[in-house]
Amino acid sequence: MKFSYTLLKKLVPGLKNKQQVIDALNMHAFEAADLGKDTIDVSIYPNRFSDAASHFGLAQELSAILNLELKLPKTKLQKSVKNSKKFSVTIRDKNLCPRYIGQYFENVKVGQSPKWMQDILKNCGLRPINNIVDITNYVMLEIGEPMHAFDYDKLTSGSIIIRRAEKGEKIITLDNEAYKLDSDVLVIADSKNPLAIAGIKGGKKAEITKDTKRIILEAANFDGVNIYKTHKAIGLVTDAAVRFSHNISSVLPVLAINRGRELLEEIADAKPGEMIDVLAKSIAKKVIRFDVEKFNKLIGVKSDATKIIDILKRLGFNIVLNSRTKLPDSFLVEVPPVRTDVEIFEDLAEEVARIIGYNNLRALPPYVHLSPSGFEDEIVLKDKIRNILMGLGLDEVYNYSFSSQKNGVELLNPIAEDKKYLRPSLISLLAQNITDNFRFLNEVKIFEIGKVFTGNKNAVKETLYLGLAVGHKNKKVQETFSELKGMIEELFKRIGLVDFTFGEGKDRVEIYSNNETIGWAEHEKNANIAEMNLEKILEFVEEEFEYEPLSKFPAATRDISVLVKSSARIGDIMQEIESVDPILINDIDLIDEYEGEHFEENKKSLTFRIVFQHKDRTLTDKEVDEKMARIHSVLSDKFNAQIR
Amino acid sequence: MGSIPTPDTKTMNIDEIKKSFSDDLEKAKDQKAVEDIRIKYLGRQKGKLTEILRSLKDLSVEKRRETGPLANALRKEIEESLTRKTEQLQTTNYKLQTNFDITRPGLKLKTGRLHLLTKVDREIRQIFSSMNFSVVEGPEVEDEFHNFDALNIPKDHPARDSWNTFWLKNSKLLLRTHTSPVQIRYMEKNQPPFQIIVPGKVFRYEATDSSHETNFYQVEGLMVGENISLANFKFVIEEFFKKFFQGQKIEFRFRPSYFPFVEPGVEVDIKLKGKWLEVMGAGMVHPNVFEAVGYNHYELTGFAFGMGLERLAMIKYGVPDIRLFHSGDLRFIKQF
Repeated sequence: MKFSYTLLKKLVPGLKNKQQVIDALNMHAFEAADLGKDTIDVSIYPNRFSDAASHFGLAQELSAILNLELKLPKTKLQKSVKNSKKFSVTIRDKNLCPRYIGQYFENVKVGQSPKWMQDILKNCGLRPINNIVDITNYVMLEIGEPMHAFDYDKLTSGSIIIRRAEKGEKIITLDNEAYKLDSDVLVIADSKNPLAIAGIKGGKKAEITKDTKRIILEAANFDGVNIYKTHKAIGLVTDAAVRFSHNISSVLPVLAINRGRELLEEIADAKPGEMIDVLAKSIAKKVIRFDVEKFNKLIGVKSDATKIIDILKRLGFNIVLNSRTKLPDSFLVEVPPVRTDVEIFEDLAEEVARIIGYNNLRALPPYVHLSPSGFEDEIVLKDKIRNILMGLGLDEVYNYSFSSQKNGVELLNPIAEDKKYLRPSLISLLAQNITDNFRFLNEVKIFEIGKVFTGNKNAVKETLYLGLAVGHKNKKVQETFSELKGMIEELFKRIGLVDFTFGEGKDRVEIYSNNETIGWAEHEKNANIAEMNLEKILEFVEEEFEYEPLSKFPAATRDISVLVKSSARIGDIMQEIESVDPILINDIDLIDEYEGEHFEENKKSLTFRIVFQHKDRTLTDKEVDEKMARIHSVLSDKFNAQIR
Repeated sequence: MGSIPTPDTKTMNIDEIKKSFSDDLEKAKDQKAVEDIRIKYLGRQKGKLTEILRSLKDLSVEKRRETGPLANALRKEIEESLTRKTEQLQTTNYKLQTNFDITRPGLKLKTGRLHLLTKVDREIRQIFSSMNFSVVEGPEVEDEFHNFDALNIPKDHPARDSWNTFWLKNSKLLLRTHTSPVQIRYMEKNQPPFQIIVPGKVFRYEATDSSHETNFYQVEGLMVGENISLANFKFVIEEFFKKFFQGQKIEFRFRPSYFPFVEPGVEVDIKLKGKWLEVMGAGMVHPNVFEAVGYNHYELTGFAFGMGLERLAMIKYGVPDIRLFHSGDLRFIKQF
């Protein structure tokens, strides 16, 4: 929000320069920045629009922060009347319009506003229009209350009615836009037509023109929620709508109408008539007890009541003191009605603390109850997996949680066409990572740990998944699959998942554990990609690492090469070898595989390395030879294998 | 190599021997040359210095007193120099083993790299763990209650507009806009005192540029007890940043701010390399938040804070564009 330094300086004459204002605000109130020339940009918090989105409010802040005198214009308050012969005010919906003040003026001379006013409007980002409109805008800048003026002679029967629009009712706004309204929209109407969309935008019907002679000046208060919803629904963002959306105080209209009258007399030569003030909802008086000890405990300081009271007074709070005690432990604070943000003790504590300055507080180590800190199991598992996979040579990627896969949970407001769904799987994202990285690398080995989403509108289930991908531009799918499988096996072994098998699903490899599918792998042209449910894995991890005595006796290693049908499955062959003597055979590994011109068609050569070991003695060559002979005969029987 | 020039004159004086010896030694390139030098000067038969030492007995008492100590000192010096040279040669000889080339490049070993966000997350967790904070996580799909209402973020109020939200179709669910709902979930199930941090992915419906993303990470912190103060917050956070940016000169600035779930609300800036940077939003937990989870807000106080993981990573490691983190580009990932 833009502010004029000139106007602030008028209200707080002790200000030194713009930078002083910016620094004071930054360290004690709001973020502020210099926009050049006279303009300062201040980010007013959403809860401070009632009091601080105005030059008076900001001047109050600056006077409190810098301890400088505040000089607000002394405006005389005019008494309101109940009824006027000139006009009437009727509020039909008291919840949506807690207060409406209207005042009649005649002898209005419409023209240009004075230069000083135009300058301030411009410096605050507003366009001068004519003296009447400019005065309403200027008062808004001063006080924070949006105002409006109607051409009295265009009103039907001089009545101002604040009511909900009828369904289908139409209005043409000042900028010549037509809006079709419904009953959620509050309007200011005369006895026939809507004159304005309440709190948002004026209408064409009672527009001020150069010929205007008599006006009704409006200062009102509208329900923030309704204004917020309406301006969002009809898509009309105005200064007034934004301000009213923030639930500003019902006392502001009183200040605004009187200040407006003063300026109309001064600048537009207007003759003020009667004023009607309909206060539909009374303004509650807020009194809060301030406990000094509680304050010191919350903020971690040692302030005394004198200092605290001084600060609160500077901010415009009224202190109710029991006159007998000199330095009270606690006291009552009357909150100015414009401070809609202050409701509880902590709000007051913040006021005092920020004026002292957070930067000026001590840093104190906390006294805490010491109990062991810890990580959730899932976090521990994730960490462990990351370390293992890094060691296995995989790089970690982070992908968006969005995807274009239609079977995912759909977003109401996607950011892009290809990001319409929540990802139901990590696989397609990892596949894309591989493709992208193939531009620079021949080999890509990556993993991602993240949530995937399934379900429907009633229930969305998010599950933690691990995705693994191995891609190589020049390797066959079988090779990268073996690599991927080896990684998965090593990973499972290291995290203590003992029970798992790979199986063939319909169009993918399934990974089972404890009779459940815990993951699967798919292959693309140059890559194999797996994903698995980490929550299941966490459930199934046993992690029972126990010492096994080291064998004192040497192992015997033998290689065997066999020629089998291409279709023979290596896993089956290894299983048969092992079944020859599951106790003595310690390990079997495929060390070579060849298929090609040296052999008959549809044959392949496989070389296995078999390790024999007995835990109590050294095996003799004879024993091992016998086992090998047995393996030969089993393989020729079952696989029609030729031993090479 | 190592041909040693032999001066003509048989009788050199002590100074000449000293000079000649050091010249010779300088030129010696191998052990053989060193041995030759030893013989030339200290040889039993014809060593230059040996000759002088031997001739001492023929000198007058006066002369002997003059030359004796000098000659003996030189002998000692020469012996020491020779030993030193031998040691030197043994070391440098390493180079001369022709089949061992240390300039040959090291084998390129292939280990993977963790993502920078994981790395930074770990750095942060480690520091807070050392201060007795536990680490918890929570769901990414949230309901309005946990993401907004319980955090005192008013419905149908512009305050809620600060969190541009992704909504799920046909449902009241949303993608969490911050990690703060995990505060609520944790407090619903646990009793104070405690201190936790909550790392996690969050979502904002925003146009992306070099400093804005739709998917990013935050770390939330929460400490609740009977005597937790804003001054305690300052201590914990200063300790954190000092450790996180260890080795760099760092200054702090605590400014007022507004987040509906804290009161007072604070913004933390740090100054690194002469520049002020906004790094954290924080404050004392709002009593309405305690009330929403059923805590007695008259007896409890606490502080909460939140920071962007990418932002910290960008500051610490000089990453210029937030979009790199989710690019999957291994040229980026492999740098850390």
